Amino acid sequence: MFAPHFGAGMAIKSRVWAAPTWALLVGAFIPDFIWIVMARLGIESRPQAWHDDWSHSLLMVIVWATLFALLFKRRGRAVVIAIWLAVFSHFLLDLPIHPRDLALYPHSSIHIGWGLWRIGPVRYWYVQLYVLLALMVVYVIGARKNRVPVLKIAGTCLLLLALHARNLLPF
Amino acid sequence: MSTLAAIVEFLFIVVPIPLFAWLNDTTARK
Repeated sequence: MFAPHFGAGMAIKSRVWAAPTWALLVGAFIPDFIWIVMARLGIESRPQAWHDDWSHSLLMVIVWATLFALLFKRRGRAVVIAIWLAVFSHFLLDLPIHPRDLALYPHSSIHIGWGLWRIGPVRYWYVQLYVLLALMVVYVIGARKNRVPVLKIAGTCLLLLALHARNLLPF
Repeated sequence: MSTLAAIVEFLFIVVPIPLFAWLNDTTARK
């Protein structure tokens, strides 16, 4: 998934307004950042020799979430939990539709996932859209409660949809 | 993954973050 990771960060933001937006969004993509670095280092790669256990396995996402969230412990428990959830949401969102099932821990023989990527790119795109829309509803309700101006809420939603439309590009 | 693909992937994630922050963090809760 791509845009739904942003959606998850913003949905969490709308519930814990004290959490910095940048931290939630960076957190929501930490497994991908780690994967990019590890792929460049030759530790993880795809699609020929698929391996993303160090960046995307359940155990490692919990480790990354805990390490990243603890950086914000001075901001209070609610912010730490929000940021932990933002990172962990990456695993939850990838679980149904990641191009390969996710390992329980690095080099585990046990992999979990729904394998929805097999339904094809068009349906795959729509599934992501529905997930994004659900997260946007959570964000809009929370943002309205926090009295965020309607134009800013609309701008955030448009940006989320534009990022999802990016998947239509050939790169 | 080529270096260019890695950079493009990275930019697509990083560039929108300040926009989201500007739209939301600059709004003080009343």
